[in-house]
Amino acid sequence: MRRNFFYNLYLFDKRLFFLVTIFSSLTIFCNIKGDEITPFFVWAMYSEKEDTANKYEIFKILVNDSVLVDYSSDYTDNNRFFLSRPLRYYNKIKQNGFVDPGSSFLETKLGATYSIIQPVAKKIFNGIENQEHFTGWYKKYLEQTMGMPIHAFKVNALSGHFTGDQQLQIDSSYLVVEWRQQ
Amino acid sequence: MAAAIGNEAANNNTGQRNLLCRLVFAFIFFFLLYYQFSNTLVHQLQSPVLKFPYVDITYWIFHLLKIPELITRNYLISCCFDNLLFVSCLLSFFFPNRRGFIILFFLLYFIYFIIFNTYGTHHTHSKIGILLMPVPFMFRRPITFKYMWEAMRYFALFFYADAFLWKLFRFTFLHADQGILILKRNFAAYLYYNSQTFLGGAYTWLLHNPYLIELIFYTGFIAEGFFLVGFFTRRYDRYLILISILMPVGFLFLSDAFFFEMLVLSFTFIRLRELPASAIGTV
Repeated sequence: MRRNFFYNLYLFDKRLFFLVTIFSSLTIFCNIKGDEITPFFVWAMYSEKEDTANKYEIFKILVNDSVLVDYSSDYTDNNRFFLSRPLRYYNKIKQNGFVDPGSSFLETKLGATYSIIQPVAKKIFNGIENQEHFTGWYKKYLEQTMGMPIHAFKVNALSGHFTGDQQLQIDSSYLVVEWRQQ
Repeated sequence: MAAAIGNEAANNNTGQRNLLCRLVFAFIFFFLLYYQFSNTLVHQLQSPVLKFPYVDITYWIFHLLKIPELITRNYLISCCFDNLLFVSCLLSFFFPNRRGFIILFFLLYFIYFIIFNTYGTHHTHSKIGILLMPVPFMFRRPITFKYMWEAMRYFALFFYADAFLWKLFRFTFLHADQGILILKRNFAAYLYYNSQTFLGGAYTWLLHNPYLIELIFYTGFIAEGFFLVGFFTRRYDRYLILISILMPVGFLFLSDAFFFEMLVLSFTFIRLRELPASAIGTV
């Protein structure tokens, strides 16, 4: 007991003890609930069982009708994060009928009580104006990343599977977003 | 005489605190340069539009107060913000005893953390180490710093141990081909665009020898579990440092996840010299 960190901290400084205890307790609580509230983090990384369906989706980003952007290796990890994640989320919104999936998730989770927080949720989640401005933003971020002016870009989502030879074979594709300077 | 020894010990501990502070902020400065090189400083984000507060109340509060919007939508403000981030980091390095600079850096980085995650539309965990590591240095007294440093060590242990427990209680370790499926999901684009490169060939070879991938996954899982030992003894801290350095390499190799910023927490496994009783007071 005498060597216990919390016991010694309690003897040393009660206010600090309560702060550390509250932080620890809320972190454990969030982990039990499985919901993260910053800064009480949940470290569930790669614990979710992976989907066994042999189906994978990647992007094909074509700039100025000729330059293919390899977002999987050509840039640093953080740069690649901003090239792919917002694009993926935009695609999710599009596939969700232009409704923010976060809003849909909360609506399903809360049921009837969602109407209470709906006015706040409307301010929080992406509305139609955010989606409309996405194309312009993505063009600017591509320019920032590639260091060149862009007059056109096109993003397709390619859907494929791994063959027995462990090669990714593309089965289908669809247009995610396209922009061209008028 | 005892008081003189106590003062000397306190001075030594202040020196130790300052050295650690400089190490930590040098590490952080390196990563700020990396953000600049990666086009992910706030002024480089080009006023992003899609946000991802998800169901995290903290993000909701930030967006309701329009803090991320205010900083990212005005180029001048975003430039000032980035400059302040760099300057506060440098000042914390050069003046480790000035807690104001450390607190300022912490607040700015917290805002940066929210901006990065919400406009990146994914709540990443890799920046948490840099976010929380300045906390112990916000305390001036060596003994208070020592307690908070130890608290950070427990946080570092918790981060890995928690990842182990999640996999344990979700029975992920029993899920067939979990490691292979993680690799395929995260490297699908890489393998499509780079199948002819050396690394692309190496990953394809690994996929032909899936037991090796599963071996890496299970080694990582067990290594995460090893951090539980740290809650009961400091005896194995030197091994924990080594594992905590190897883990981000594993994350990068198996899942293309960049966790090197979390290496800052590895500093907490460096054992501080014990404080003499005269400096500790009533403990």
